[in-house]
Amino acid sequence: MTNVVCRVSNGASNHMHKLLTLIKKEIREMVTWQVLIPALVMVALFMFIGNVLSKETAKAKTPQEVLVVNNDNSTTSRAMIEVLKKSNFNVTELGVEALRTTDATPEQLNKVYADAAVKQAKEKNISVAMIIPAGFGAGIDNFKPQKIETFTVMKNFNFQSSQTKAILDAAVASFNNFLSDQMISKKTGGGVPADYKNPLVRQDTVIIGDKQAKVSPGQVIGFVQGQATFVPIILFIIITLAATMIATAVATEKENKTLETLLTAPVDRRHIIIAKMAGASTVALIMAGVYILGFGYYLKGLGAGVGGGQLGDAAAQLGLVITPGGYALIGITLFLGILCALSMATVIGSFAQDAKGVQGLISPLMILLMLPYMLLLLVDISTASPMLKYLIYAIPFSYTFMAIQNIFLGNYQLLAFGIGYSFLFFVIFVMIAGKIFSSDKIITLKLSFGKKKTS
Amino acid sequence: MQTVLEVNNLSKNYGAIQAAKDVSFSVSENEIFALIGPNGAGKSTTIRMIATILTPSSGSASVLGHDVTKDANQVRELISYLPEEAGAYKTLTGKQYLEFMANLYSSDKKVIAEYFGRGAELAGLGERLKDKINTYSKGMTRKLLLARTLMIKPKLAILDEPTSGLDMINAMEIRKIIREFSRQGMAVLLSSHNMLEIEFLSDRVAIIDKGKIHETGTSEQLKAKYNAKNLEEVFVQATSPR
Repeated sequence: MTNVVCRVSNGASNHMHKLLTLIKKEIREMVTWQVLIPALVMVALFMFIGNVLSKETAKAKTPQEVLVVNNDNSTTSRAMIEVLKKSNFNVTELGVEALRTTDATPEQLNKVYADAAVKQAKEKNISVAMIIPAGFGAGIDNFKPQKIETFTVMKNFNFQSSQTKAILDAAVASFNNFLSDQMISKKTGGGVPADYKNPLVRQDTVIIGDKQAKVSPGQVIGFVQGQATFVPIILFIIITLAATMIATAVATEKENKTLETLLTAPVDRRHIIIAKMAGASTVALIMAGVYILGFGYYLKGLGAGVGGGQLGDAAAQLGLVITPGGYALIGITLFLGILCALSMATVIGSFAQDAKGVQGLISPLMILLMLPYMLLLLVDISTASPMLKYLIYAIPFSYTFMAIQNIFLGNYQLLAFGIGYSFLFFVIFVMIAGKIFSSDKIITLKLSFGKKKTS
Repeated sequence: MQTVLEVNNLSKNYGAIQAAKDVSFSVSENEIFALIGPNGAGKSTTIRMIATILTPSSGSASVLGHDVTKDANQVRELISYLPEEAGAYKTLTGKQYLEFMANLYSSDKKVIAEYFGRGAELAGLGERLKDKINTYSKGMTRKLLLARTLMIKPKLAILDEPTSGLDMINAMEIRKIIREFSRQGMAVLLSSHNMLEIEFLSDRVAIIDKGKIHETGTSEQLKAKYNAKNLEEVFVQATSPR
């Protein structure tokens, strides 16, 4: 009995030794400068962009420059400019008295003031200039809508130019707000303008399952989507890396003529598959960590929080909190999603004759990954047509994308089904891969999109 | 002497194409047995069936009593195979490659060290063993691969065109190594289309063409039978339609 136990344990230890040898070789082959350098460059790029965005975001918060030509000089127009100054605008007033000539028509004068305003704006690097015409205050006092001229100096058409537009819109909105408040107050004999502008006030209640909280639906959606967005990003990165690596690893063995030697070594062929999957997923997880670090810097620069908005008590009341158990379930579905991709990619790699051939063959897998993500963004699965529903449920990656939402909605049955289905999917593809590796097919199987070679 | 390899009516079909048909022969320990024939004769197909890469369509082959189909795992413990177009992992150094392969054949550190030591000596690459394989010449890579094949001292070494693509000097070295190991007890099954090389190296030969073995015997026996000066003439006569 002791001899049998010893033999079994020696056999198991022998198998484990060979498996670890294979895994180490796979990792060594996959971690090359060709893989590391692009990743490090991406991280550096993300950090740089994040840094730039951070500085630009900070710049956007500083008082914005506006040039104003006040041709009216009434109490109303002066009060309007004061309101602008208090609304985080740096107002430069351009005096035009010296430019006024008695024989010039109003149109000619307007042109002179406009030219002067634009010239001054350009010299002082101010993007927005406004001209308040004469008679503005009197018109407002008589409840007549008034016109102001605005000039926008555009130097480019990038993110900064949209900031310029935002400054102009904010300034005009500020004016309109002030003037309409004034008009309402006058018309109503001192009434509160806000009551007349927004007579309807809403009280929101959001219900999720049997839980409810007094909070706006917009905040809840923003919070959930903020959480749910991060998982697909991680999944995309890890799966794309891992699947490409493993398919390439299998195809490269064929291309470099190392496969036949490996197949005749005293190694369980299932271990060859396991080693490739373990190697690919280990390297992919490390690379994903590196990318996520860089992406984190980018998001920090944007000023966005990964966790989404803060709802405090409302989130807790609605059950929108992921418990350790919830994280475990997310982790399991993510892990199974990765395993499904790895097993499919192993089969795909068996068809390729070389690493180049993998690129074309792996595209359907990438489509299978993108499809549920795009569909779930656009479609409400509960009201989708049966065909669309079955399509989404048939793709194992769908359950990973839906995991957080299902946890928040308490759809544990669907979660459990997804875990079971993904595991079955993985087992089937591993069996297919095992069959291929155990037979002649690993040598004879090929699918290429190039010209057929004549022998 | 003990029979190491026994092949009986081994056949392999690819649809209508019969790559190997009723191939039968045996190889004993201390013996170098060569399959000779032109390209496409069925040498590699036969060898790959014995090496457990391809499944025979019919017939059987066994290594020390272990069937290549039913006991493939046990057979792989006993053989070592050098394919014609073998490659090595380019991102590994020669040293790492030999260590990797040694670890696949044993989990005992002493045995692994012994295999590696023998492999390093056989490869004869000296300090270059520390360099990445993608910096090696064709001859260096082939010597490394042969070293990997023989370092574990298999019961049966299967060598498909062992000197393929090598210059004269490297080819001579490899033939010398094969002969030495055979004399130490190893059975060798090799294939080649270089009949002069085979005549020099092998103890017995089998002439194979269009998937069939036409003749088996020592070079001398076959030359006498066909009144030929060399094995090339034997081949032409043995495979010509009567």
